[in-house]
Amino acid sequence: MQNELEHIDDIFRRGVTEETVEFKPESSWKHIRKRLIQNELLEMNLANINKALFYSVLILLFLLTLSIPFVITDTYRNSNTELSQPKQNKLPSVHPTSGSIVSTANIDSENTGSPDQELTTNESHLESVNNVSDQKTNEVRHFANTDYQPEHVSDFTDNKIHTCGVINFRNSRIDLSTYENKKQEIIYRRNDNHQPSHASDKNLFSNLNSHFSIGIETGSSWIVNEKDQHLITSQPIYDGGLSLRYTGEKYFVSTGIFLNRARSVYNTNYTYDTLLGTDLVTGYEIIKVIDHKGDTVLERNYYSGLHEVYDTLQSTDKVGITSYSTVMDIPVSIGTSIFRYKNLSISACGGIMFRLLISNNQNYPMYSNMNKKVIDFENNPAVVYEPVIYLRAGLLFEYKISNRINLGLNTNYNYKAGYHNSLSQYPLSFIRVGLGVSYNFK
Amino acid sequence: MNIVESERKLIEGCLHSKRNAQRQLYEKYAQDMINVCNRYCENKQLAEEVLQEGFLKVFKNLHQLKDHRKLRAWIKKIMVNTSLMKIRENDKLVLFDNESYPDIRKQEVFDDDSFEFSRDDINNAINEMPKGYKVIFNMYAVDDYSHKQIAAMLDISENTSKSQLSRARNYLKTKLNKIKAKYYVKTGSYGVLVSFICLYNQLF
Repeated sequence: MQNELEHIDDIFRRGVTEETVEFKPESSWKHIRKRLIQNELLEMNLANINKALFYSVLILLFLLTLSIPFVITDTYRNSNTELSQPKQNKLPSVHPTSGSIVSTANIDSENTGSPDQELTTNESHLESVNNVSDQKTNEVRHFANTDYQPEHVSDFTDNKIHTCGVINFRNSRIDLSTYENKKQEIIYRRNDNHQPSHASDKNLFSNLNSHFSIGIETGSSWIVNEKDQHLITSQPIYDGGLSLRYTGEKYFVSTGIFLNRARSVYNTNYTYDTLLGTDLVTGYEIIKVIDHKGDTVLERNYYSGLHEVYDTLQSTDKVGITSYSTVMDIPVSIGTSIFRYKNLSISACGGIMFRLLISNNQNYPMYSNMNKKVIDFENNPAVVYEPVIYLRAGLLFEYKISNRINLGLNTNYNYKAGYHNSLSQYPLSFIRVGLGVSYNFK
Repeated sequence: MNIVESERKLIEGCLHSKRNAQRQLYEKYAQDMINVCNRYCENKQLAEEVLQEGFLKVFKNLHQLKDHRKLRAWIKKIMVNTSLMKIRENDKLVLFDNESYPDIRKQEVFDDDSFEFSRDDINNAINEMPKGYKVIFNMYAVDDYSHKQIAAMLDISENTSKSQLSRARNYLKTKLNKIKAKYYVKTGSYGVLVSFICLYNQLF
């Protein structure tokens, strides 16, 4: 019996040990070497790394990071605020050359409601507004010899370069116009054609070849070092959107579309005239009349009207302007996995993010019931419609729930590239933490 | 410098993360270890993955090796453990009872020592063997693990290990007996035919 068992064991042993697998050790060694380097970097083991080269690269990266804000400049830099300063009186803002309306103010001039009634400016699309100048009132004031200050005209024409734009969803483009050059610039939406690189080896984390992933993500942002004294943003700012990622052999490329809405309050000084009272002013107009003889004669037509009288001395006070802005973020990042353990993976990624303003609503306090006539605001919120670029870097933590589904925690630091307007609704830098779920396509 | 001394220096180099030493160690044992992994894994690609993970564990835990003369056995043990982990990661290791294979008799008799099985016959019989049987057979008969060790590594009882080994042996015996029977039938038929032809020639 024992002999029989040994015999059968021997047959089995012979069968499995005589078989030799054809094997190229070089290809496996490459993977092993790569993982060894990763592990050594994580453990800061520099035994196999040229120390001089390593520290040189570190110093170079540090210097590059410091120089980024000074190297990249915005071509639309302006000495004043960048864009439209919404008028506080009754006239709309008019393009000096094309005559198209850029920003408008819908005003309720018959404001007899409660003192809390506010003036709202809607700048999400173009609309035309009739000129509300009152010819008769002007004449009355003229004849009454009242020292009336002319209407405050928008200082668009004072800007050297003035750019604004609107997103035209129907035609999928962003329309920009610059006043100085008086030409229409059309910027078409980016159309990136990614050619996925051929990956012959498996992705050890997901056990899949190179693949696409799609996911949904929601996140919160916190502004870092908010230096602008006039701008107070309610934090955190929440956002949500879709993400798309291509994972290759060594790197992954990701992009997406995210929307967020932020509420900011601009604290600013404003100047106003105090209403002293109203005065009955009489005046006349010259009219042509045909008398009983049939002759045309000129006659005076007397009439009277009420005229508001303001203090000639302007006053200043502080106020908060509330701004609600909805922006769209389009990040483009590239990353690589730096650590893997079972179902957990940590990746480092960096790239850029485009931020575009979708809509902006600003609420200005109305002071007509408080005997005030607002002349100007010291610091108007700057509404920037042109795309803004942020540089971003961060870490991505992923947990594989199943072969196709990953749970991800995305943390990154974003820094605005180029000129920064302290009155802009875009912060200089912020930290974002996002949580998402993605699905892998094989 | 003798082999033991050269291996000691190799280990020292690997402990200091010297890439050359690591590569030499890998090249020295890679072929043998891929054969070990291939015995447990169902395909060559999986075996290579196991090999890579196994060697990473070797380099990471080399400081735990007490006796450098047992390096080969230690590496082999790591490869077997990594193979088992990979198998269980991809697919649960299922241990079969005889009800799943009704044509396998509980106590198969196998007593023909003189019969020479071909390599292909043996390989076919082994390849058809269920994964659970194959793993335990490999661990006991080829890698010399005891039932106690097998039970600990597979998280089963010793009795289960013994019964599974017994069933694996019976399975192999059944398969080989069938191969033998087919051979005898072929040979017997041929012999009858030859005898008939000779008799025919003699008579006619």
